[in-house]
Amino acid sequence: MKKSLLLGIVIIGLLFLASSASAQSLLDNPDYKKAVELQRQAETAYAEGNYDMAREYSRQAQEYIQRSNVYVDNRLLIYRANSLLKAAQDRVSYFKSVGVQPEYQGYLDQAEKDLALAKAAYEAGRYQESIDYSKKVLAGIAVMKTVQQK
Amino acid sequence: MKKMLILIMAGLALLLFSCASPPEQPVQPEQPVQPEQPVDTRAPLPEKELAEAKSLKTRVDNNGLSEFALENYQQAEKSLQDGEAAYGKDNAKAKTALDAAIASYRTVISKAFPLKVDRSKAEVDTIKANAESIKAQVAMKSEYAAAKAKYDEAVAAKDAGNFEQAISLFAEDKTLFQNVYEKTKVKKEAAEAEIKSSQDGLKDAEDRAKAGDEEMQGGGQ
Repeated sequence: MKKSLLLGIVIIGLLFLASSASAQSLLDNPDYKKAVELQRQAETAYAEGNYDMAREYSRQAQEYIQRSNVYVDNRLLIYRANSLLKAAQDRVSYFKSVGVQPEYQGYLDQAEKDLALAKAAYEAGRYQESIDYSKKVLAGIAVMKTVQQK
Repeated sequence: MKKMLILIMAGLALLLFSCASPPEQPVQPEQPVQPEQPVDTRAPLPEKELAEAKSLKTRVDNNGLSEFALENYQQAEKSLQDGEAAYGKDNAKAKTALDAAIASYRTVISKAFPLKVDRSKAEVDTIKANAESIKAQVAMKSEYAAAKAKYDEAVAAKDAGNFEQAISLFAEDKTLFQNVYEKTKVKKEAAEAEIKSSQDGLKDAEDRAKAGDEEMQGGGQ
């Protein structure tokens, strides 16, 4: 009883951590924060008449903004690659579990191969390539029918 | 009877003599027209006065003082012209006119210099205030310091009554402060453009991140 209660608490904690992580804004990144800080310094320097420093802080802020944008784009790309890979996996697993009509077996085989390529690309950090393969899987599966659908 | 005849003869003779026309007068040569006042050729040439009047005029003109004491300046100019006209012809008259010119030029100088210095200072004060309003003392620290040092020097010359020096220093300082102001303005505008650019960049970054957050929280594409 005590053991199962402890396990429940751990699970709830993990779920909370997972949900708070996903709720974290993409702006919660050090580059964006640094850019905001530099922009504040630029505005302070400008108000004091230190125009050279104001320009320099602003220039640095723009560098960090670029880094932040790269970070946001990358996070989004990973998220999309992950979502599509998961969707592709689910669809392939589903058709494998329920079976497809014989004339679609070739599509399923191709989908499995593409899924493997999507996973490999994802694990290698080639997210756009992974997205492309996952989309190919989903497109191939879209035409398939299960045995029951006959 | 004889006596009577003599008297008659004498009377006739007297009558004849009195009726006779007078003899013609010889033609007199034309006398030259005398000037109303005699030329005083004994007075010496007022060379010193002429030199001093011209020197004062140069000083007044070079410093642009005439507009500050116009009536006195016009009097001085008239007296100098009179003096030059009489010079070598009527030296006493020339000296009198030149003395008047000297006195008038001196009046111009004494009246106009303080006014001119005040105007010069006011011009520099305006451009100095403009430079300070955009914080030139921070943005162009060393250039501003040089202009301020020149300003202090000009004010000291003014306070000491060295008006010509003060005018010259204020003129130099006006150029210095104008230069400081222009350069500061360029720096200020460049900083404004850069700050605007990074502000826009931050706004764009926030919009992108917000869109990404919505996509990720909404369950994907």
